[in-house]
This record gives sequence, C-alpha cells and structure tokens, in this order.
Amino acid sequence: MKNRVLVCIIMVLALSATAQNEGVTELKKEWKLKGALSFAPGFLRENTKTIQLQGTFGYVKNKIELRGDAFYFLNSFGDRPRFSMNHQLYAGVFYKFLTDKNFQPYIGFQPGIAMSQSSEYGALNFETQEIEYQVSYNPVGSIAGGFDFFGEKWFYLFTEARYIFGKHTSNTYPVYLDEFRLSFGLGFTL
Amino acid sequence: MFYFKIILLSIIFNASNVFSQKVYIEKGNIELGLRTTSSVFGHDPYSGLGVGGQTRIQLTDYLNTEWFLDWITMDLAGAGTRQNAHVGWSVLFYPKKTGKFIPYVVAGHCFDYAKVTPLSTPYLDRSHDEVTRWSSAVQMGLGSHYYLSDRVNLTFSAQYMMHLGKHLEYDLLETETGYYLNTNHDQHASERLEGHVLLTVSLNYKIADLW
Repeated sequence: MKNRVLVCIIMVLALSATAQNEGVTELKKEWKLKGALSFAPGFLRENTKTIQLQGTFGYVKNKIELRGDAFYFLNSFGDRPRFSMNHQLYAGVFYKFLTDKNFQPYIGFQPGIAMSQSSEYGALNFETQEIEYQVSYNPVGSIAGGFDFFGEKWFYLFTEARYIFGKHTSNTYPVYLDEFRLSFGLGFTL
Repeated sequence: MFYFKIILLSIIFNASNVFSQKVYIEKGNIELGLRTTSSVFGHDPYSGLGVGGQTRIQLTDYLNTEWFLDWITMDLAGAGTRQNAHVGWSVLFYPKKTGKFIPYVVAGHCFDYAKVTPLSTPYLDRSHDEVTRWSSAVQMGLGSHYYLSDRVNLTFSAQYMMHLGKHLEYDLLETETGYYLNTNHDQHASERLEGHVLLTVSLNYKIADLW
C-alpha cells in the first residue's frame, strides 16, 4: 500500500510538471498587428541611389512576425539610374528577439516579385518602328534585419536594412535588381 | 530493492516528459505559404529564380497534399530570357509527425508553361522568334519542415522535375561577340524527356484545423 502511494505521488508530480509547461506556453500566446508607411532610400552599384515609398503590414505572435511589404518606386539618381519603374511586393517571415522588451531586434527573409522597366535598354518594335521599353515581372528575394522600438501603446519606431537580389529580364538586355535598401519611420500597432 | 524501483520509475517518468515531442502536423491542417525556387541542372547551364505560393491540405496524420504555383525567370547568358510557370500538386509522405524537424518524401504532377524570348535590340526586332510551349511534368524528391512555432514552418525541398511532351527548340550558339539564341518554331518537334532540379524554400502558416 505504501509503495502504491509513493508511485502515485511520483506520477502526479510528473504530470503536474508537464501541465506547468503547457501553462507557460499558453501565457506566451499574444499577438499584435503592425502597420507603417515610410520612405526607403536604396543604394545600387555605380554610385546610384533610389527612393521608394514603403508600406508594411505585419502579424506578430510568439517571436514570429508574418509580414508583407510593398515598395513604390519614386525615382533614382546618380551615375546610372537604370530603371524607370521598379515596384516590388514582398511577403515573408521575421524572427524577433527580446519580445518582452520595448527594443526588439529582428531578422528575416522575404521572397517577392518586381514590376520593373529598364530606362537604358529598349527594343525595336518592327511594326511601329519605335523603341519600346518592356515592363516585366521578375522574382526577387530579400534578407532583412532591423529593430522596432515600442515607445507608446499604439506606436513604434523602426529602422531596417535589407539586401535585395534578382534580375530584370525582358525582351532585351538583362539588368540586375540587386540593391541595398534602408527604411526608417513610425508605425502603428494594435 | 524498493527504493531502486522508486528511482527507476522516477527516471522513466521524467524521461518520458523530456523526450515526449510535440505534435506539429495532424490531419485536417490547412496551411498557406510563399515560396522561392531556384531551377538548376536543366536544359540550360544557368540557374533561374522563382517566386510562388502554395496551400497544403493534410489528409491524414502521415500524408499531406500541396497545391502550388511558381513563376520562374532565367537569363540565358544575355542572349535571351526563359520564363516558366508551374501549376500543380504534390503528395507528401511523413515518416513521423512529432518534433520540430519533420522530413518527408514528395511526389506529384504539374502543368508547365515555358516561353523563350530571344534578345531584341534597338536595331533588331526578334519578337517573331519567340517560342512557347505547354507541357505536363512529374516531380519527386525529398524535403523537410522545420517548425518555428506552433503554426509557422520553414520548409526546404529538392525535387527532380521531368517534363513530358514536346521540347522547346532553341540553342545557345557561341559567337565572336557573345552568345546568340537560335530558336525554331518546329510544330513537329520530337517528344523527349527533359528535366531539371527545383530547390525550394517556403514559409507556411497554419490557418485551420478542419478535421
């Protein structure tokens, strides 16, 4: 009888340990939505810079952020402004560190698609006898990292750096879409 | 002897807690995901980059289905462009359903659209040399999910895709000034097997558990 009581106590202790672990997991299940609009300067090779308008929307839960980003190409400057259009759409996942703090660094990967048009290379349209610059849709990828700073309940500051890779292909010469891009601004969170 | 039994039982219970791995995949799970794909070792000695999406519908605990769409572009040595669209489905077989790492064997079928566009210049319009093809393909390979959280997984897979049907008639010719893409609108092109390897990284989110 004494033995059975001891065995029962051990079993109850083991089960309670498991139950406590599950309880901790439950407490971490918090989520929030994020949204922001900002300007994003980009840096290309051959001393060229670009400027984009960036819109971002994210869903954060348990250190994981699912996020979509849209970049609207505004203009480019420098020695070789190679695109007249380079709008991009991304969606991917970010891992956030220190989610219990106001300052939250993160790193992530986003595949995407670029709607681009070369300003350098056009091709002859034999029927119209005019040079045409084809708009094409090309896959891109980007690795990004940055930090959010949650100062107030509804707002946060963010700074981010990303490297974009891909190639603009069309009916004429290809052009690399590779770019280093920065973004910073104020976002809204729920 | 009694105390030895108690210690042994204690070790067994604790060990069962330590090694009991969480179940991440179950029948009825529905996932949505985005993927980036690289196409290598195909007809051309160049790699392509692709983007796409997928949804997964898990039929049983050890069998999942994946419905996908890919858009892949490839630069043919500056002499032209190849674009491929894949729309298809695959079946995933899991040997286990616990733990964060879940390997699988994958096999499936897809429809493929391919377009090869030779380089045009301000002095030469080669749009009439463009060749296109619709074909069917089968694919199989290996992959693995890694669960970042209860709902989010990162998946890597390597598959060999074999196209069934007429092949696209084009060749890259090396000239003194670089490569030239020669295409041929041959409606009677012979049917032959043409394959390539697809390396895919995808991020997937579990949106529902239906049954």
